[in-house]
Amino acid sequence: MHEFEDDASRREKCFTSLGQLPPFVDPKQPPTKKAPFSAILAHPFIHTVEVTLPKEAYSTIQSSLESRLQKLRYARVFMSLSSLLETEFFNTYIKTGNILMISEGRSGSDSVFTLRDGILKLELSREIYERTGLTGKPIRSGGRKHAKERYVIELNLRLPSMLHGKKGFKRIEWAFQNVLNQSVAWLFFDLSSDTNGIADADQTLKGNNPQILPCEPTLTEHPQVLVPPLDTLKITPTGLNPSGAAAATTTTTKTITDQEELRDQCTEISDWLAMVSLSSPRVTATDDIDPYLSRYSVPDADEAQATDLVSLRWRGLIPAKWIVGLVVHLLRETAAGGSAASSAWFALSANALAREAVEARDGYSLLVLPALTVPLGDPGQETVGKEAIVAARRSGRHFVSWEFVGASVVV
Amino acid sequence: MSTTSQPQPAEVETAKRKAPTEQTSSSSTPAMTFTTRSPPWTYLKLQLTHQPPVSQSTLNHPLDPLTARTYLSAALRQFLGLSGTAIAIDILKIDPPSGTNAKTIWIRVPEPDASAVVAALSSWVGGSEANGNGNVAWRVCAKGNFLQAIVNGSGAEIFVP
Repeated sequence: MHEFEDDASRREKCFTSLGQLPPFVDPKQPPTKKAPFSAILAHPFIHTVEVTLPKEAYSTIQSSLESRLQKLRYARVFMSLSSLLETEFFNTYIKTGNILMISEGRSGSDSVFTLRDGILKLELSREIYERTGLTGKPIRSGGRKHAKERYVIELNLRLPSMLHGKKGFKRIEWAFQNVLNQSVAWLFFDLSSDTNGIADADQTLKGNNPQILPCEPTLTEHPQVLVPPLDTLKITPTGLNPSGAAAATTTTTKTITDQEELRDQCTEISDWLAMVSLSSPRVTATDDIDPYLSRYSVPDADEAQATDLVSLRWRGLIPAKWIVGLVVHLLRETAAGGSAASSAWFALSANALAREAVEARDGYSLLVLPALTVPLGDPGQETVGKEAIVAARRSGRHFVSWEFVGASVVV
Repeated sequence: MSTTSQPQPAEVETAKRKAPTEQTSSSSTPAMTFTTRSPPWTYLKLQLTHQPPVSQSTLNHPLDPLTARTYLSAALRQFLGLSGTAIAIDILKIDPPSGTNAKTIWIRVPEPDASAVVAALSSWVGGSEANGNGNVAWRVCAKGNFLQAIVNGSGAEIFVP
């Protein structure tokens, strides 16, 4: 109605995938290429992870989550870039170790540095870039108006040529001592397998006086939330039968409308999950707001059931590998057990740091549906036949995953 | 050789005829992927700021949904006239429900109206000067077409000691 051009809104996207997880996920070798695991690994710097699930299911898995999930801690440290290259830190953490570091600042306006897999990435404005004397490449600006050109320099510090005394390395040292010489706040995470984020043997990060922060989950209860029916998000093999042209033409019209409906449903469920993590009163069964103030309603509200939910929220620098571990753990603990109650849905959402100025990856979210379906109208019955459990174990669990790109967040 | 090459053109045909839904299906597990570009709603996180002179009691007074709605309507009316007040606004949450002076609200508006709403809210200064209080203004903290992308903020606060 109001014709204002909205460039940012046009760039916003959400990639959704629906499918079935493999029946068994090896905790030692989780898949990397397929959704939803590919989405998790595509976001290396995460600042918030939130898990939402029914309270009943949480109470059965609470103890195992507390005892068996790897504890997390990360460090906040003030360092200049040249102190990254000081021999002891450089050799321990960059050359032989594997760390994740990210500096403070807003991509697109400040100088922002990230370090991952030994590759130091510097995002700089044109003036600073030219003063460093290092080679980089321009960042795609997406044709935005009034945006200054920016450059990114990628330095692979693990290359054999990156040694103190070598010529190319001296140029980097010079740039870090003369141009990019201010100290900035960094977040630091050590990815070595047995450290939980910070090595016990080196609490000072080679004399850099970090602040070591534990990353403990905070529990929030969401009593009496209206949960829409989630089973409709399962896609069945019959709906997508790839056998022959004849079958495809007869079912095309039906499947297209079905697909439209499914897409809308996916967006609605994603927004509903966000409303739960916002603890919005609009999703509770007791809400009685006037329609003048809000007309939000839970998707499929007439079929929704009031359920107590809980959410666990981790804040800090969280590496992707830990999140994969969390998903695998949750999958195992909420799998089909002896009763229907122990098989539950759960949702996990994560929000990313290091958003680029254009088409930033904002994060992702994952919903895993229960392995077993409780027969409707019979919620009191908790035992399900053995055959059903075996069948549920054999076929993978259905999931929906969303990846978000390009939202504008200021605070 | 001829029998194997025969069905191939037919396969290509069906692939062409499909709508561009980016739909993929592997042999064992059905899967579907698609991209959503313009969902029906845009979500906004707004902050109500008081401008001096302001009394402590005004600062501590909690924001109720009706007052928030009045301030939003006033901003839209000033910038867009009568048609601005017709924009549907849903108040999703007021944070915190009582107490401190950081008054944050979450709303959603229809996606095509979102940029008009942002322009109207950020240019508005209003409030009641009659009873000795200063003006109020809206600050837009976050805007996104998918609430999950903005619900947890930017994470900038974990850098601050």
